[in-house]
Amino acid sequence: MILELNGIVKRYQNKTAVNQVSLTVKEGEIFGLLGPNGAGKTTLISTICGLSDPEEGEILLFGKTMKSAGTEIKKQIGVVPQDIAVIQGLTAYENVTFFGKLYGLKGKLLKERVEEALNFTGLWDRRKDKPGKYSGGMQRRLNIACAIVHQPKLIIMDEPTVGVDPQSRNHILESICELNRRGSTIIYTSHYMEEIEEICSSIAIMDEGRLIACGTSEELKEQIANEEKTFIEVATTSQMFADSLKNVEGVTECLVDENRITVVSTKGSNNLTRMIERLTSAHAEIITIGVERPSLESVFLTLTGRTLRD
Amino acid sequence: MNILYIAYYTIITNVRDYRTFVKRLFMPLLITLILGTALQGVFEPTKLEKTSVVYYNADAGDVSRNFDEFLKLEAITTLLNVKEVKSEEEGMTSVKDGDASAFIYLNQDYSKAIMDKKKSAISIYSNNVKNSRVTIVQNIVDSFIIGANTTEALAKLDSKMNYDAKSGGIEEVPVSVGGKTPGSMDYYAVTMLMLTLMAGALYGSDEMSQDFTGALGRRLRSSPMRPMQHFVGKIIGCVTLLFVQAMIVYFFTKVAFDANWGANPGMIMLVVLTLAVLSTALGVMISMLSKDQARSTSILNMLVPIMTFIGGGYVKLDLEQLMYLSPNYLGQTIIFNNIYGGTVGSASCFIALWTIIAVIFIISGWGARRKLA
Repeated sequence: MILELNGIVKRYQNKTAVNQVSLTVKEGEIFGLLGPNGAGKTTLISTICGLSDPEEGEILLFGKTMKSAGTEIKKQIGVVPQDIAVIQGLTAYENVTFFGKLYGLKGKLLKERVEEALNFTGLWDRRKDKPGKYSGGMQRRLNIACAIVHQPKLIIMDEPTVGVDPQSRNHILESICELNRRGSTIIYTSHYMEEIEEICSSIAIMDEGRLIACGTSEELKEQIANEEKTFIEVATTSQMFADSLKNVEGVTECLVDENRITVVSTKGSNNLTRMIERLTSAHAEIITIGVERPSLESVFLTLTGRTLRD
Repeated sequence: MNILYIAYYTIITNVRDYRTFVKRLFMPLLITLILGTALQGVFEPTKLEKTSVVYYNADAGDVSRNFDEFLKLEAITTLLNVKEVKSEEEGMTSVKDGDASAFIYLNQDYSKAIMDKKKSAISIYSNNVKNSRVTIVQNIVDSFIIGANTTEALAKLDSKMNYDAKSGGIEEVPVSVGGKTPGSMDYYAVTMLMLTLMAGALYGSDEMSQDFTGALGRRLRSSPMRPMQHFVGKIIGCVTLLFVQAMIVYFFTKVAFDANWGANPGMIMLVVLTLAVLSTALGVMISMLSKDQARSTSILNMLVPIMTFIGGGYVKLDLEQLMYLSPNYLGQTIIFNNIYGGTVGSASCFIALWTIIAVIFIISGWGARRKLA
């Protein structure tokens, strides 16, 4: 295990920011920590990074605690904070060099790693510019370059795509996958479920300081999905079409709204072909068909009664 | 090595922020130039004109007659313009109306009291006892009394020595003021050096706020660098930067403004270095305690001008004991004493004092830093 959390509790005055969180992150994973703003993700990350001690529980990183081997552990971690945390008075090259030195790199190796980190994030050509001259997305990438210069085993990324343009966002997400392919384990926090779903192999959902679900994307969806919805758009609507679909195996409900028919079926019915056959037999002119699968959003909604962006 | 890296990067990031650096460097030089030029007249020594005094002797005894004669001595008439009045009331009115700086009054029993060995006094009245002209009158009267006492003592000893009371007690010495008292440019060069040093507290404040309380601080704290290395590196960087900045002010005022810095640059460098430590430590402590860069900057932006003002940095003041609360005052006192041959004994005491205070500030800042997480 790269990371093991056992019953972590962190309080700020009267508020319990992290409440009895236990989870494990295996080597080679991209582990997503999903939750709305204020769920306790950043507090949990701060605790993992050793910025604050938990009131209760134990954190094991690479099988050791921060107290027993803090420096050794920190050398193997790269942290990408939520906010841009680079030195504005230094160029991109100097910033990455600065962080490389802090992590013990020297001489030729340092130069090579700096070049590698800047190339990886696509900033090598702009290495002589200060962060102030960068776009928001480029600053985010520099934020990442500073965290990966020492090629850490574990990279912790706290909402690295907040406020960036789609192009930079895609670049960042691709970079994360590439870093993972090169051997780094990633812990990735976000309140964007699409990102988490796209890149993470394991996902933990947090809300109000608690860990409410944990598993792969499919496992999480399995936990909550009991039904599937199919949307069929036809050229002209007739109640007859709806009636013909009601008899299809697995269908529990059929609603008509203008040219759109919504068919609710039990999970795993696999009845789409039969529905199309029935409509074709009834001389319905089908324009589009869509199937709604359970998403992480619906998982969160089912578990908390709220949407992620509430 | 991390300490040196941190110190190095602290210096270069601040120097590269050239707008702020140049502003912090040239503002004191500009103030020196403006105040030094505008207030030149205030610092030029003036000729000691005669002091106007009214005098009434209500006594007809021998002792008071001696005082009459004393006032007519040439040594006295060069200093005092004595006008006899006809009554005590007239003398009082002259002082009240500002016609005379002081009124000397001998009551009718003055001689008799002295002969009877009873307590007696020559009274001096004035509207403003702190006026230097009144001090002159007091000194002259004192010199008469000392002379009289000495004569009496000699008589008791049956001595054949004579006391010659021809001196007025105050001597007008034609001095060359160059190198003895500061001109306006000399004065403001020193006080603005102190302002530079105290304003340097902002380096300590800004650097600590950025590196310990903000996003960058959280990132640095998650790195393997030891917090103590980081803390010490920052302080060394700020002190070095401030020392260099202050020495630029020193050399610039010396060369461009011809300010008198005396012949002991070693002492000035020691004062600058130790005050740079104090100032940085002050900024560090305030930023760590306030936990907010904007709040810390606001506090220092208020504190630094106040310290400069009560230290007499903008205009010469006499706030007595209050001035000792200002590090500016302590620093410039050492430097002025060093340049103009004043008491230098207090220098080591002052330097030791503010070094101890700086250590306390740094320890407080370090203690507050531990609570940031």
